[in-house]
Parts: sequence; C-alpha cells; structure tokens
Amino acid sequence: MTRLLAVFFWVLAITTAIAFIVHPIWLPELVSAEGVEVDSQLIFTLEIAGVAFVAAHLLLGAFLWRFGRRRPGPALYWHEDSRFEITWTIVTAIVFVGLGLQGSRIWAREYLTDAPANALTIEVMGQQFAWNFRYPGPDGKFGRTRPDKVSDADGNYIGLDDSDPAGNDDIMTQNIIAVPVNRPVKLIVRSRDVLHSFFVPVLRFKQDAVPGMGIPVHFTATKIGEYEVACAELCGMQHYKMRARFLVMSDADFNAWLKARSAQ
Amino acid sequence: MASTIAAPPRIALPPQGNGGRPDPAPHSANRTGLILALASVSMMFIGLTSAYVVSQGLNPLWKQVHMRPLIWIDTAVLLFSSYTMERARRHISARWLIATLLLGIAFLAGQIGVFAQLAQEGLYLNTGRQASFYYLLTGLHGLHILAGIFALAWAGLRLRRSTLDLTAIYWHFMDALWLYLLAVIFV
Amino acid sequence: MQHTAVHAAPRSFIRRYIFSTDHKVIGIQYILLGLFSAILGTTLSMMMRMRLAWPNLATPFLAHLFPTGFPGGVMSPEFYLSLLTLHGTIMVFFLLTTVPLSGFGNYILPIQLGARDMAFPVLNMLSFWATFAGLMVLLSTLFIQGGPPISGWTAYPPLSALGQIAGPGEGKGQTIWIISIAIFCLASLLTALNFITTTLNMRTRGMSLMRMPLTVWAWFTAATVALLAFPVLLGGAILLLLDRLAGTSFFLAAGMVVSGKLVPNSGGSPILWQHLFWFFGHPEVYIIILPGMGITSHIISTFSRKPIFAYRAMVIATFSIGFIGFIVWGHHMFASGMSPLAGMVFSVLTLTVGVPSAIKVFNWLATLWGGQIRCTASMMYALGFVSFFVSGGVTGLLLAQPAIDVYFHDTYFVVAHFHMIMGLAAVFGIFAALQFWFPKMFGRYMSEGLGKLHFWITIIGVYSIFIPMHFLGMAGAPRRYAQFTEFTYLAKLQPLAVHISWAAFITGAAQLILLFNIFWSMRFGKKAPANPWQATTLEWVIPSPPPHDNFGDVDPVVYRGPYEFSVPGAPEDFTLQTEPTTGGAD
Repeated sequence: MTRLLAVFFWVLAITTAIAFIVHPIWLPELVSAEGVEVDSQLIFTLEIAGVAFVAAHLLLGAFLWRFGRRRPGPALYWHEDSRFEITWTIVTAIVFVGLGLQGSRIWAREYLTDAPANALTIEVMGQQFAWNFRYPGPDGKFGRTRPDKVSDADGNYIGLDDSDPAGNDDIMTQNIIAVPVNRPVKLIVRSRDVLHSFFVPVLRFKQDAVPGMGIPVHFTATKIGEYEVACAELCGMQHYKMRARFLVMSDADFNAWLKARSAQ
Repeated sequence: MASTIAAPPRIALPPQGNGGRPDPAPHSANRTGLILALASVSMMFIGLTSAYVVSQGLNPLWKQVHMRPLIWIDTAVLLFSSYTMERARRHISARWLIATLLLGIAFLAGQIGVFAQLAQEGLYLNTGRQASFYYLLTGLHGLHILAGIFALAWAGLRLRRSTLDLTAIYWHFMDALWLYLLAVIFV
Repeated sequence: MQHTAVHAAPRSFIRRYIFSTDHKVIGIQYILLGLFSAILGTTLSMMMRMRLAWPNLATPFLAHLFPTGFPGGVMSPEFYLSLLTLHGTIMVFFLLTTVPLSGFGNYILPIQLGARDMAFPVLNMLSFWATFAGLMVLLSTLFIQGGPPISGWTAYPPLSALGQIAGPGEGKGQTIWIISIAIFCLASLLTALNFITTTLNMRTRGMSLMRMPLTVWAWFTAATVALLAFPVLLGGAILLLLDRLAGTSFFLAAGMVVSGKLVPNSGGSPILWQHLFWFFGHPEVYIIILPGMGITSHIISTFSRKPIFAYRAMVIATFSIGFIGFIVWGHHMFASGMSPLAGMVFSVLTLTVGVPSAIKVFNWLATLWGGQIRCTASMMYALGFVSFFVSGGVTGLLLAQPAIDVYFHDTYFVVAHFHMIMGLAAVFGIFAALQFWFPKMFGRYMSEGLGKLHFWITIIGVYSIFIPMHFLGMAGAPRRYAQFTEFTYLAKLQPLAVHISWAAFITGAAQLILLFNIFWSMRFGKKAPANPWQATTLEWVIPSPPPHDNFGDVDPVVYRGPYEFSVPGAPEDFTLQTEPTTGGAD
C-alpha cells in the first residue's frame, strides 16, 4: 500500500499543477495600472509555491516507492548531515525572505506614497448595507459631515452638514461609482457604522472601512467598462449583497455623468 | 538479519530529573507552577496596558484621572505590606502574616475610596476611555489582591515555610505590578 | 501539597471516570469532548455547504428544529452567519486546541517522561470540566432568543460590540459567546501550567531534555505559547464585554449611526481588537499545529525504523516556530487600516517563520530516506499530515505578502489555506495519534483495514473540496457570504460551489467509518500487547492499558534517546529508551 500512496501523491501533484496551469477559473481581468506588478508578483510567487508543492510531493512519493517495499538489511542509521541541513536552511531562507522583500517593494510603492497631485478624490462611506460615494464638486473640497445629521429618510446617508458651504456642490451617489479612465483616483474610505471592506477585484485591492477613520488608497483604472464592488468584511446579515457598480468611463463620458448627477 | 560486529553505542548517563517519584521537594513543582501563573497574569496586564498606550496614542489629550494623595497612601500601604510579608516569611510568624492581611484589606479599601472620589468628580467606568482603563486596570489588580488575601489566610492556617515562600512571591509580584500600573497610567 | 504517586486507585465510578484526577482518564475525556465537537462542527459545515450550493432550498426538517432560522422553510442569511460563527468557534477551540494538546498530551506526556501523573492532577481535572462548561455555555446560544452571534469566530467590533442593534444574535448570543471564550481561556491556562511544570520538574532519571520525544517538545512548546497568548485574548474579551455591557468605548468609535440611531460611544478603535485578538490568534494556530508536527515526527520515525532526521534541528525549529509565531500577527491585518510600514515588517517576519516549518518538512523526508517503511494506518495519516502541511503552507507564501494579500484577504483563498493547515493537517495529526495510541489506551488495536479505508476516502475527499476552493479565491469570491447570487462575477462560480458541497457531503459521511472504528474497536478490537508497534519511547514499556500509577513500584530509568531505531549492532531494529547501555571501558 505504500506504493499506492506514492502514486497518489504523484497524481495529486501532477493533477493540481495541471489545474493551476490550465486554470479554467482564474483571476478576473485586470483594470488597474498598479495591479500589473501585483499580478506579476502573484504569478511569480504562485510558481514558486507550485514548484515547492510539486517537488515535495514527488519526493514524498519517490521515497515511499523506493523504501516502501520490504528489503533485506536494516534501515539506514543516518540521522544527521550538517551539509544538507545548512544548505536547505539557507536556500529556503533566501527564497522566502527574498519573496518578502520583493513583495514589500511593491507594497511600498502603492501604500507608502501619496496619490499624485492631480488625482480625483472620491469619498467612500460604507454603511449597513450600501456603499455611499461622494465627489467634491467644482470647488474640489468636501463639505463637513456630522453623524447627527444622518437621515436615511431624507437621503442624507453620510450626514452632510448643510451649514458648511463647501458641501453645497458635493455630488453624492449610492451603490454606483464612476471614474475616468487613465486618471489617478484617490479614495478616502470611511464607515458609518461597523467594519466593511471596499473590494474591487478587477483593481486587485481592498481597503477596510473603519468607523472613526478615513483611510486613503489610490489607483488608476486602465480599461473602460462596468465592474463590481463587493464588501469584504463581515458586516451583518446583508453582507452578501452589499454591491456597488464600478464604472470606468472616458473623460468626456465621466464629466457628463458627473454633471447629470450634480443636477439632481 | 545481518548485523555488523560493532560494540553497542555507549552513552554516558548523567542523572537528570527527579525520578518522577514522590518528589523529595514537591514544592519545586508548586513554585514552577506559581511562576508560570504569574507569567500568564503578566501577559494579560501587558496586553491591556498596550491597549492603554495605543488608545492614548490615538488621542493624547485624554487625561481624566489625576494622581491624588489617597493613591500615594495606598501605594505606601501596599509597599509596607510587602515588608510585613517578608517578615512573616522569614520568621514564619502568624502576627506578621495577619499584619500583611490587614494591610491588604486596607489597600483594597483605599482603592474603593479612590473610586468613590472619582465618582464624585463624575468619572465612572464608562465616562471616557482613560477613566475606563483606570477602573479596569486597578479593578483587575484589586481582584488579584483579593485572591492574595485568601492565599494569606490559607497560608496562615498552615504556617509552613514552603507555603509562605510561595505566598510571598505572589504578594511581592502584585506589589510590583501595582507600581508598573502606576507608571503606565500616571507617567 | 499533592503527591502524585503512591496513592491507591480510586474505586467509585464517579471518582474513576467522571471526576478523575488521573491524567489518562482526563486525556480520554478531552478526546471525547473533541469528538463530540467534531461531529457538531462538521454537521454545521454540512448545513453551511448546503445553503451555499442551494440558497433557496426549503428544508422542512431543519425548519422544524430552528424555526427562527428558517423563515418559510428556507435558511436565512443570518442563520448562515450563526452557523459559521459556531462552526469556527467549536472547531478552533473545542476540537483543535483540545484534542492534540489537552487530549493526547495529557494522556501521553507524563508517561513519555516517566512520571506517574501530571504535576497538578486536581487542576487538571478542573481544566477539563471548565472546558466542558465553556462548550455548554457556547452551545446554549443555540437555544436563546436571538440565537448565536453572527460575527464569526473572530468577533470583530463594532459588529460584535454594539449589541442587538447591529443584527440578530448580537444581543445575548454574543455576550454568552464571550463568556464561553473567557472560560476556555482560563481552562487552557491551567492546562498550559500543568504541562510546562510536569515537563520541567517531573522527568524520570536519565530523561534529559534532549532525550525527550519530539511529541513532548511539541506539547511543551505549545503549552508555553498557550500560557503567554491566551491571557491577551482574555484581556480583549474583558474589554469587549465592557463595551457591550458597561458603555465603555475601547473599540467603539465616535459618531457611528447604526440602524438609524446615533450611538453615544466615542474615541475607541476597532483595530485595537484586531491587534489583541490576533496577538493571541496567530500563536493559537501554532498551538493547534505543533502537537501534530510532534506526532508526525514520532510516527514517521517509528514506521521508517529510523531515528528522526536532525533531532536537534527539530527541537530548535519547534521553538523557533513558537517564538516567531508571536511577532507575526499583523499579517491578518494588512487591509485593516494598520500602518503600511508595520505591514512590511510583519510580512518579512511571517516569511521568516516559514523557514523552520520548511526545515521540518525536509527532515521528515530525510527520515523516510533509507527507511524500512511500514505502512500502518497511523503512518499513512502522518504522511497525509506532511502533504497537507506542504499544500497549506505554500499558499502562505502568497498571503504573507501584503501587496498580494490585499487581493486575497477575506476571500475563499484564505479559507482554503487555513482549512488545509487546520482542517486537514491538524485533523490528520489527530487521526494518526488516535490510530497510534489507541492500543495503549484501550488494550486493543483499531481496525487497520477500516483505518486505511477512512484514510483514502478522506484524503481524496478533502483534496477535492479544498484545492478547487483556491480557485474560488483566485476569482475573488469573498468569504462569509450566505450566497453567491447577488454578483455577476460570483454567480458564474456557482457550479464550483456546488461541486465543493457535494465533495463535502461525501467526505463528511465517510467520517462515520472512523466513528464506527473507534467505538467498535474499544469493545471488539484485536487485543494489543504492551508494544504493538515495536517503538522505543516510555509509553511502550508499560502494559496496554496502563495501570493507574503508570509504572508501578519501579521508576523507569532512561539510558538513551527517543528514536534509537535500527541501531547498528543492536539485536532488534528498535531499542527502548530504558535499555541499559553496556558502559565500561572504550
């Protein structure tokens, strides 16, 4: 039966490798400029992980095959070998820590740098169970919000304070966000109640929405189309349907869309 | 089965362990256990005081509970009780033990007195985060002192060297913990 | 104080089997508690998979049992969330933290050290009954108004701190959950204390630290980690309870509007909970896996008839994993709003902890090399552990990098990763331990045939469940969703979800084979001798099952290391640790 187990591990390794190479189900299309190096690091790491997975199982199977049959003589009384131990420790450390440092560089580029100065800023505020978006309007400034001004009945989901003139031209939407293609966008992610998480798979990132914080994140969308925003932090019973439409448009279309909204 | 002609490996035999038998010094296990328990207690307070420091970092202007004479007095009481505990331990003395116990009770009374003062200032468990932490940290410490008071009573019933040693370790630790909490909260 | 030896065995049924202070009885009690938890937790997951595959399926039988959870006969989304909360809590705490450590550890550790019982037998008994009480408290949430909490086993505030207004089950259910966890913390601390003290103070003559079996090192390290990690969870639980009941704002920010009402709290940080929880939570998963690693080393050595490769490196790796495991918790929080710089530090540290883990895999493989491999059921489970550990571990390389993790966080990729390690590797460690030590515990073998049958169905079944689940994650499917119907990109994945559910049902059903094997073998299994596997450590020198005080009147004396298999010149291919050396001049 040892040999059967060996065969199982080989079949497992090969089938899984094939499944990942053929990948009938895979990452969604990529629609962000920053996501290019994320995807390439993801695939690269996956390849290393795959090699480790396959190699370990091939070896496991090979050793079981070779040493699983009764043979004359005792087992090999071999239980130390510094050369092996030092070598595989060092190689593993280099590969693992190397991946970490490489991944950190990509992370730093995206998260330790501010959005470019010409970025369009949009505020995202999650609530149980919808996504509110706010554009600053022509004055480029967001009006003050106050939690005691929130009124779902009046459609003031984010608590815009009408005593602040900067908010008069703010444009608010719910469950739909549009951005112009190929222009940097900065999001300020907030929450009105519990934790949520703003997740756009095609942009390859998510950002938790934490009440009491406004967390900045930036991206540049590269392909016109309509995509989906999902909530990715358990927020209550309708967590599974907290969906927003994410539209990437040409500059002209975007300006028209925004103008139409501000008229409302 | 072919066997190589070789002498079986010789392994030197250092005597180790205590035999797993009726332990000639059973107290060593109890002492280890107590120290481990104190490590655990330390980790809880470390977790909570880190929460305190982090919360403070989020809003530096949060000071609500101010140092006051009663806390100084209470601290002195507790430090003195460590002294009486040591006397009790070294002389296996019931009197010094009772003194420690009474001082412990006095300490707790002082703590409750501080809570009363805070209440008069309008500071309760739920009126602001620094007040919350103050009540929580000193309250948890107080519960451990209370447990220590029961331990002192138990030690008093038996008056054995080993029990007094362990009780003293616990008591001094609670003393040190109090100083640590004072430093975190007021410094 | 209590002397552990030289007292007569208890006579009454209650003192022998219910309130026993005998570490062997307590070990079995923990294993039975774990078994009950496994049955419950698996049933919950079957119900979850049922809803995921067919969200609109009416199930009259279940609706009859849980009327509030099944309005109109169909499981509600909030009931799904309750199920997943209970599933996670029961499996992580009451199965995976109890059985490998408190179950098998309690039974075997004292014997492997040559001791007669644990250092604190009464405390041991209290630990078990406290754990039992904790489980009962948790399960009571199924029967209260509002039901169990819906915030997951991770209970993130504000959802878990706001009370009823945040959702169903967030009233009393959440409070009771916190109390259950607090009880479990205290019980675990008592256990940890016992294990560490016993290992340090009660080794028999000749049992130096470097002659202890790797199982003992694993239990010792896991217990040390538990001693230092659980108190932080206890602290966090107290803070959460105060936020819920006393109006404090440790985790609740200012200005939240929940269910249309402005909540009066102010100034707290939800992220603070995550720091406290994961400071415990990451070491917790090492508490779960370390015993399985020890058992795997032990079994692979035994059934390869070879000493474990690089014993010393294994000890160092075990300790390194335990230690480094304390400083990587932020990798659960890359998307949380935590400082990105902290993210980088946590990332590199997380990848570092992969190194000792990889070393263990190399050592297991090297142990097999040149061995005379015996294919018992326990060996197969141990090899399965190696396989699952590799499979789950390699996806860690992706999740440890924040730039990649902000895509995969909170998707099924993470669910697949942790099920591979905890659900599969750790559970196969339990299966291996069961099959290996059952003869010692009950004096009878478990059926090898049924064991192997169970092994095959389970390994094929669980790989069929969890490898495909990675693809759900690649596609960006978020976790804790009651159904995939509301998103275009998710609805496409429904066929895969259905496949996973079917694989789960079949594999779940196959576990009945194991249950049957356990209980049938207790009565009717083939009788087993003292040393059925021809192994070397101290548990095999005493009868099966052992007498009350383990070693009788004579204390064992240890002359050798724990894995002296196929020693050149020895008469057999195994040499017991108690086998004297011939000493004398060189």
